[in-house]
Amino acid sequence: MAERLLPMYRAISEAIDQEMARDPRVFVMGEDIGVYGGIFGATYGLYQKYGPERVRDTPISEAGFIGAAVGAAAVGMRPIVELMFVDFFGVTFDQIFNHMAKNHYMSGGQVKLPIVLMTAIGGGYNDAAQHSQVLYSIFAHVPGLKVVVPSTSYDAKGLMIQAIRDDNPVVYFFHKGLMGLPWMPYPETAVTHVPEEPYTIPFGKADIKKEGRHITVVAAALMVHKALEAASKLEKEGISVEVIDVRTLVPLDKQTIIESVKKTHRLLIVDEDYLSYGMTGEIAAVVAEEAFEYLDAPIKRLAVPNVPIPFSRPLEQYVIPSTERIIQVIRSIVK
Amino acid sequence: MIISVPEIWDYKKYGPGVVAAWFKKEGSIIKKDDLLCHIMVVKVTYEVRAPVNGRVVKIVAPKGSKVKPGDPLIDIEETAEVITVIPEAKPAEKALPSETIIRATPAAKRLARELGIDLSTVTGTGPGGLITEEDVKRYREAIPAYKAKELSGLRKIIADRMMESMKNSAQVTLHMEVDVTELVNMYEKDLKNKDITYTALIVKAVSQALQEHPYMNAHIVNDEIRIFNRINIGVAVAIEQGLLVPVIKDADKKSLSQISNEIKELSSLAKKEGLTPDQLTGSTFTITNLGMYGIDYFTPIINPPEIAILGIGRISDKLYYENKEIKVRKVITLSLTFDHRAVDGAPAAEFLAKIASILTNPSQKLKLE
Amino acid sequence: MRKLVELTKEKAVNMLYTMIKIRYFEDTMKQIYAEGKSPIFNIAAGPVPGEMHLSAGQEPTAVGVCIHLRPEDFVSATHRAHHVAIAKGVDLKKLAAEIFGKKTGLCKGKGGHMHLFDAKVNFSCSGIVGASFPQATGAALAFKMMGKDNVAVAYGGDGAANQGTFHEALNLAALWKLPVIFVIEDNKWAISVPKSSSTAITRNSDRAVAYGIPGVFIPDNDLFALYEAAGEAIERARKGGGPTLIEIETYRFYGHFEGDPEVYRPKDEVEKLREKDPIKRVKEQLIARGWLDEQGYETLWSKARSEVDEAIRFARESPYPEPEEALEDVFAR
Repeated sequence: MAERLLPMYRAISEAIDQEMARDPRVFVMGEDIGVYGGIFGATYGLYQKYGPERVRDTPISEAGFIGAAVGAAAVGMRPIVELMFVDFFGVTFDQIFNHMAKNHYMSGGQVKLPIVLMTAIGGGYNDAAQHSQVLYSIFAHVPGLKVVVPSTSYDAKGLMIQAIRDDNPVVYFFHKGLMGLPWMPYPETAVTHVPEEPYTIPFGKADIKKEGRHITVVAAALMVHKALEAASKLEKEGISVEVIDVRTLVPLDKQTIIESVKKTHRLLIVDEDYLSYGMTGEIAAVVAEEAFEYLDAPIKRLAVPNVPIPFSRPLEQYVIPSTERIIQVIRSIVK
Repeated sequence: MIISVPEIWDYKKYGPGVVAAWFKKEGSIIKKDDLLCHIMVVKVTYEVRAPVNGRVVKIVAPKGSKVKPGDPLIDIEETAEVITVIPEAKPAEKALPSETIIRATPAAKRLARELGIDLSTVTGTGPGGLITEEDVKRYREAIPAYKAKELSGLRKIIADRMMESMKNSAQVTLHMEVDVTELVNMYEKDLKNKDITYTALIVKAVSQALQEHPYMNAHIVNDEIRIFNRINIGVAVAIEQGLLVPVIKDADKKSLSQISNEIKELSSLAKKEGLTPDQLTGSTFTITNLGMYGIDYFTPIINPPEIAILGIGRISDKLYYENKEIKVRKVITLSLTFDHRAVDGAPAAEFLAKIASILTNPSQKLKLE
Repeated sequence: MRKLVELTKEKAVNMLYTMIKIRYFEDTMKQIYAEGKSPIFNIAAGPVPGEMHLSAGQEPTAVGVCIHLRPEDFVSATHRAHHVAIAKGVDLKKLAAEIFGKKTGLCKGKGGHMHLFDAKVNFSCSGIVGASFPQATGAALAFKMMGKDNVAVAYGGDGAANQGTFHEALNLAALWKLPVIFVIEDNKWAISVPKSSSTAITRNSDRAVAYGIPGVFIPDNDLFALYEAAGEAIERARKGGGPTLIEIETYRFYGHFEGDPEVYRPKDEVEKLREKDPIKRVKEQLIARGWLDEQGYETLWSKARSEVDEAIRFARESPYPEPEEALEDVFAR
């Protein structure tokens, strides 16, 4: 079968399209997701196909329309709502963490909220402190939200369809630098073969993107690709790196990570989110708790240090984990 | 000054000795009467002590050398007084109740626990001497699979003699089950209280039998069979380091209680390593008893240059059927190994049968005096 | 030409009954809440711990609207929601049990007094001020997309009308012409801050102009006026005419929350308000119309009492949930 290479934004919009065709309760709302197709292309082609009723441009009222998604889901619809940049969650977070996340629980299971809240994350293209963040750990921290982070087109489509079909609120984070947009650089490894037919990828299943023997590297989104790049360079030095793509932070596939550490005895977690109180700390703690006896070196974490993302290129490149830095840290652990 | 092997044994009678172990090295400081080395003669260990204070210059006869009295042993530089090299150790400062923290990674600790390795013996190559899993693995590889112990001293002598015996002779073993019901009765009723042992009884019986079958009381040396006039029975005694065979001289002329006492005394001396070469040489026939270990019978190896050895098994009960009745009798198996170069099966068997008949009917046949 | 909203005797008596039931429920709750919390007020003690916000006095705001609603119509209310819940037809026993934190409650004890949900009648409420507006707007959007003629109602207080969500929701509802009614219960106080100190304008109903939707002001806790305005707004919404903002001037007899020392209120204010008790006024109006007599009135009260007493007894006798149940229901299967 010929390879059908799709950039991530096409994989995501295709997933939404196929689900909208299958289920009339699915609709999309958000800022510029209609005619424009989403500023990062996530709703490419949908407005043209389904019209303004089901693909709704909203005013700039995140609390309003994300709260509306909660109400709509409560009475039977399956809304997909886009938060343009994750950095904007502040203006609407109450509806997300106090209502979207909790209504099912607070109602004792009566109310189901089958919502997909999708949002753009990531930096590296000089968009500075308020437009470059990742922040998925904040959403992962609150119980009641599922947190999904694809790193390739193939994963993106499968995970999106799974998210739409899930009866729970799913926050779906797509990295701007992986979308495959013509105007934003992206690694080739993000563009993969995407089957035409609909398919799902279960939540809570991490993907070993590369097998290795000497060290386990856990990452998400763009950092998966940097880790793979580092791994391929280190292969030549005789260091064999196993790269695990978590794919979903909630639910987290602890099993795969622990099995890997039992094999390699060393762990590095790479994250584009801030270092403290985040994904790296969570995974490090889980491994320290459940695979302590298998560690032959202290667990190391590499993430954005606790500073806002700076604008100037050399500054930004310094704070976001680079392939070179990943290589250095791995060497220091393995040697 | 050269210190020579002192005149501690009869070289003409017992031959050369072997330097078994050195307790000082070249450069060691010695005080008068310090133990220098051991010399082994016929399974007897002699100590050589320093006659003066001094310092060892050279060990002239290294371990394993064959020496006779007068041979140079060690060169010592004499000094007037003892040179204290090691300063008096200061009284140690009260050590804190030590919780020696062994720095090792969790994986290293787990592996060490699984392999039963003591981490305090492992060298760590991680940062700050941290023991890594690799270090534990390397340590495990370095552990020798076996503990080597040099064949030396008494063990070497036994090894050499056993090899010699097997290589140079044609040994055959005859086994015979002997009814000792009467003997056991005698022992239980009477002899036990007089401290007569079964070994003593058998020594006596054997020496009687040898009188009537003197061809069994012989040595074979090169191409010569020497039939001895005196009957000296060697009795094998197991000690911690190996096997010694003290000799009961003229066993045929000694009473049962004399033999018994002598066996006891010689055994005790053997265990204390207090036997003299004289006591360890001159046997014409050897007896070896494994019955107390539950052994039924075995194939003992001849004590060269003798031509035969008698092995003794355990006394057990045997059921037999007589006149429509099931009865029990006591039996013991005797194992006679003989050198077919010197004697043939039939005469050997006759000899064994003679011993058997004495032991079967001791009241009639065993001379107690 | 404006159609008149019809009021039948049946509906009127029904509404009075519901008001009486609410009043008796709230008064009973006041006593029960106080149980176990003396001599020194300990918020965590007693059979009903935590916060408690009672709506005695505000009965008309709930009853006047909910009488027009079908079970499937969506209502999202505030932290002070008992009257709306009862008026919407939430199961009284399960409501009481939920407030007591029992396993038999609406939410198996997981929500409590401020987070009451009854999916059978599409009722929900929240402890976050202003949270109701976007969610009701969303429900209205869903109804419209599904081609149903159901409506959604969002309740909020005079304080909530200044929250960002109020304005965002009104704009969205107006923009997309959604079948949602926004009801502002102006009881004059946002905890201790009077409306005059919080709101730039005098009437929130005037804000409707900013969004191009009809705005109605109901003075003086008038049940029948609200009944008429709500009936009209709901009818309009069902026919696709879009949202309406209704503000009703009402009053709460008790503090913002139980245990509130109410230092902010003039002492005689509540006495004066009691003289204007809406139940008394509605009773008088019904008697004047000949739809009710004293005996009938007493019957309503005794019926209400027995219904409420039974619900409370059910709540008291029900078991607590198992501790491990706390881990369930985070996600739907």
